[in-house]
Amino acid sequence: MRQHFDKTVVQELVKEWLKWSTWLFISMLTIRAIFWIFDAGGENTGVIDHFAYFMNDAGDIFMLIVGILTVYTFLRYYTEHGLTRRTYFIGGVVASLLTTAGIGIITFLLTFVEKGVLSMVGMSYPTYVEPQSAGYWIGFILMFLVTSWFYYLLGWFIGHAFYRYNWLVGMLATGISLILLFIEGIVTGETVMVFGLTLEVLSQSVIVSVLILTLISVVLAGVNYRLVKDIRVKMK
Amino acid sequence: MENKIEIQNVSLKYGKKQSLENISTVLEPGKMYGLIGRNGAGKTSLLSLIASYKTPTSGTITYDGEELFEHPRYRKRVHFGYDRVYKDEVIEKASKYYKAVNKHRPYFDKTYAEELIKKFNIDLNQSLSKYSSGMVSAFHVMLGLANRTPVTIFDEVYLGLDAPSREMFYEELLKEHERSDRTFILSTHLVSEMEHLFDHVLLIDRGKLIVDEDYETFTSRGMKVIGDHEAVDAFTADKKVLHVETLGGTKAATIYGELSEKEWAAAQSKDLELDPISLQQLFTYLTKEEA
Repeated sequence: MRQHFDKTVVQELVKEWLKWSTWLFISMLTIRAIFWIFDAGGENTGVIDHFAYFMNDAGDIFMLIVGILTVYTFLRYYTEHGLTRRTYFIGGVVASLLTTAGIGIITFLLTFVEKGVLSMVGMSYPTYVEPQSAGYWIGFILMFLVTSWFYYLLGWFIGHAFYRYNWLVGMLATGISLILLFIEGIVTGETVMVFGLTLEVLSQSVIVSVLILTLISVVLAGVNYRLVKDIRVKMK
Repeated sequence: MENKIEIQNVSLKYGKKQSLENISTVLEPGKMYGLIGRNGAGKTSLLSLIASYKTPTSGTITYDGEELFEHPRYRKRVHFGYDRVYKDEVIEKASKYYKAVNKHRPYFDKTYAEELIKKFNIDLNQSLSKYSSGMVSAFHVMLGLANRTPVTIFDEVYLGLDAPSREMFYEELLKEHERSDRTFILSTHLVSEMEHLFDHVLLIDRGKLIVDEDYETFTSRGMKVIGDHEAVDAFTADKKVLHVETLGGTKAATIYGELSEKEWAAAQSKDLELDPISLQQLFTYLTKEEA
């Protein structure tokens, strides 16, 4: 495996994805600013939590899209440059972890920047968005990273299934992904609705949630490797 | 390091369609191979297998005795240039793609690349998707030559080049061939224009490798016998006749196979003219015959 690790691939992927993420941050900051402006005007805009919480779902969706796009943009690209599928896979895994961390760091910095900017313009951070304890933050950061990585692997899985097989298998993979998303929802303590039925939320600790989600992600990474190890690279 | 590729009993199937059937050959270093065949014969399929774009249904491809597919070191020694369409690329700018090649290819020669960029007038500031077909071809040619990979495959990438540029490409190829031990595999339809480059001919027809010989030996097997109708008929009676033309009492038959000294003498005694034929003609007749 070590022979297939390529630092350049990791650097290239992280750089490219973080570049893509600027659009995510620009969009989210704009929406957030609009929310605050309306909030200052006395309207109830739903600014109910800190910026990192606000970014959480958008960051996950971003990583899901990154996973799908990576198959169609980088698989052939690396094959053209004489790199192996395993190099592409290892590069993708490592780079997605680093990108997730990168987005996480930027998000948390922006959370504090937001607070600073609000106080500069004379707006106080409402009590309901005030950060909580250190334990809360550690748990939040861990969940942020693990769910983002899980979404990347899910997107990668859908992308590989569509690329390797036909649309039917691709749709099947999408269906499996939806089931995995329900499981992720249950594990992370969200209320999950399936066909009108509300699934009971498990009340385990954050650490247990992180561990379960990490385990699912590792299995998902294994499935991705199986899909890509002898995949036919399309020339057109 | 030999840089020798061995292809053993390779077959490739797409569903029920047999694209390649039991192909075996050895690609020796320092040789210029001409891979010829009609459209859909299986040329690109074979080349994409060598370049590890896919795995064969059966058979093996080895590089210096080790399996080439997914080999972290040997994969970098093979360059595969084909008629690639750049569309919706992430690496959109040609200059960026060029920089990436420089990073990933261990043998990439930047000085040589810059020389070729000037020679072929390649604009690296443009987007790859906005390149004309001629510019795409020139870009591929530059990459293939400057990559300096021990095994370099050009699968009709030069078709978009105009005649003077193609001539420049052939000159560069010959120079590179002379000063290095690189193996070149050139797949083409432009047989007549490129045959002077080939050391060895690989002819694929309907997924089968029907010719695997050095250029001289192969082309010497083709011969045009011209003379009196009956004399030509008598001389070619036990030979493989590929093509026949008649004009009045004169007949010209293209035969395939080796001629013994005795047969040469017999042809002379019957006033028959024996003319060599080109690779293009041989290719046309051999593959047309099977159609």
